[in-house]
Amino acid sequence: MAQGRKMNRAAKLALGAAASLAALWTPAAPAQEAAPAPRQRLEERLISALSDEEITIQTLYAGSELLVFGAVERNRFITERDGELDIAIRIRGPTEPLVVWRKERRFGLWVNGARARFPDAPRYYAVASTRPLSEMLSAAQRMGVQLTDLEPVKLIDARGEPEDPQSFQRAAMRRMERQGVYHVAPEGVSLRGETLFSARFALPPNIVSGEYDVHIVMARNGRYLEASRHLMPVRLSGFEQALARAARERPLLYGIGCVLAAIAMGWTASEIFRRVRR
Amino acid sequence: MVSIYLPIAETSVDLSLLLGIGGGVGFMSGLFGVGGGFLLTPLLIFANVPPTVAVATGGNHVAGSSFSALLTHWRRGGVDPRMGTVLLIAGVLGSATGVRIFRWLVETGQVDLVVALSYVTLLGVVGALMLAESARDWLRRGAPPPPPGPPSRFEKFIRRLPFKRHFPRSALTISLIPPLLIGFAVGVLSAVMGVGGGFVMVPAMLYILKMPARVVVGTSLMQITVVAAASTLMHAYVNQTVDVVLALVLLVGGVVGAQIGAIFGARLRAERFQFLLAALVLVTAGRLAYDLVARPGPEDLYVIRHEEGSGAWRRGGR
Repeated sequence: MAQGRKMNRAAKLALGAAASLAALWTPAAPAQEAAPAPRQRLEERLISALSDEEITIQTLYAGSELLVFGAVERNRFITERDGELDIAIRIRGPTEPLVVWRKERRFGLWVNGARARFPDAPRYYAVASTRPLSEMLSAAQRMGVQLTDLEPVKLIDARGEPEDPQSFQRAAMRRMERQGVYHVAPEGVSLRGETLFSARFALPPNIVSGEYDVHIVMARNGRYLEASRHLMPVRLSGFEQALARAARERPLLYGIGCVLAAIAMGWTASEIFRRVRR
Repeated sequence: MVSIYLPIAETSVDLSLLLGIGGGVGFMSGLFGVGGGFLLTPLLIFANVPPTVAVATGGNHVAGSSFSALLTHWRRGGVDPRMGTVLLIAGVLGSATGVRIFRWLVETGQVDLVVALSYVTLLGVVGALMLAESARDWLRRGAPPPPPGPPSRFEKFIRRLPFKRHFPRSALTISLIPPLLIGFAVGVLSAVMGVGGGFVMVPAMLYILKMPARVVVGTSLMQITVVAAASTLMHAYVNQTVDVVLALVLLVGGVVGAQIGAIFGARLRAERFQFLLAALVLVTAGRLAYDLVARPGPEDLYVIRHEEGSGAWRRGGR
């Protein structure tokens, strides 16, 4: 996979196709051997890639789409007795503390009352799978491979924990969902011929820069088999990055620049209008 | 529809929406001599800009658009530079104090409530006063202005204050204490409420300082420009929430709007001008008061925010 990550998109597609062909081809070999040998133990391997190794946010960025795709390689043909193959893909953006207040009525005014804090809320979180995660793996296994559709709102902070944290979690998730940075697609992964899989993820215009963790989990018959992981950086383009860095590292100079730019613009407009009116 | 990505706000916003907001607020600024921050900040939040960025960037926009309008008033002789200087020195000091008060409010929680309540109180009082004044003017319309009555106790008190200076452009001799206090108070308000403070400034200059109407708007713009620039600097330095791309896009709309507003302002009759500003201020106050009193809908019952100052600059590692 490390190699695959460095290749360009076309090469990756070719690799994916080759892998899937290989997966279809390999079982031919054992078939030539002497007939009713004891049932061979099924072994499967996951090969995956992303349509973009990194995403660059430019001035006119208006959202984009990420395709996660791959193939399953195995040592023999599968039969009905092998059970069902499932793939789940989870993308998780950079995390930041999130604070949720519930409004309460005091002295006739609605003010911020009880508060819950989610120290590691991701700025982007999406899960797609071939069927609902709860049908795919047991709860314990899902925890083991960090695959859950509730992760954005894990309430870890005991300090100031409200009586009913669930309602705060639901509110935070609804908000993230409305902003397009949280979605769960229980049938979002399409699996063809038990071999080729793909899923599309919408990256909305309000995604933030940072490392995005793409986690692909394969399970068969309710048992975890294998996972693969890609780190996809989302970067600001040169101009945006320079500004963000200046604001962070040279705040005073940046501030002076902001004021001067605004003043210069005001002056220019005033001059233009003076000439136009004459 | 073309969207533009804002590097500090970390979101992408429709370009025409931003130009429209900037233009509308700029028009108000040129017409009324108010910076328009009290409209700009809520509009930006409505356009999905995080509140902290909206407040800080609003100041940056106000600095540019007020400067543009200031130049127009300056050429027309509508600025009293001496009075403006007195006001802005006190204003910058007040703004520095206001930033401290704001931080204290954040630490004790409930900053939202205090800001909303001060908006409602101030806008309500100022708007009602202006409306009453313009209604009186309206009733007297046609009739000659009544002879000035005997000075009230308040006016006598102001006249007795020491440190008198002459302000030739305003044709006024007045103690330095009232303008210094007004400038300082407006500076505090502008930092705490994230506005320029023109909607307090203009009536204070008219009714307390008794400055002639022709220099009020220009002189308040002079103070607003400097105080807004100072608050932009402070926000950029302390909170790093000034989005220069957002500010410049708003300004493109804003400076054009401000110029048009200034032209309209020169043609508008005084009492109508006052009535319009009063109506605008009262509508904003009413809207904010409604939000405080009305039961929030299920989607608005929860306030959800990324923790203060936890933006990209803190994530680092890019």
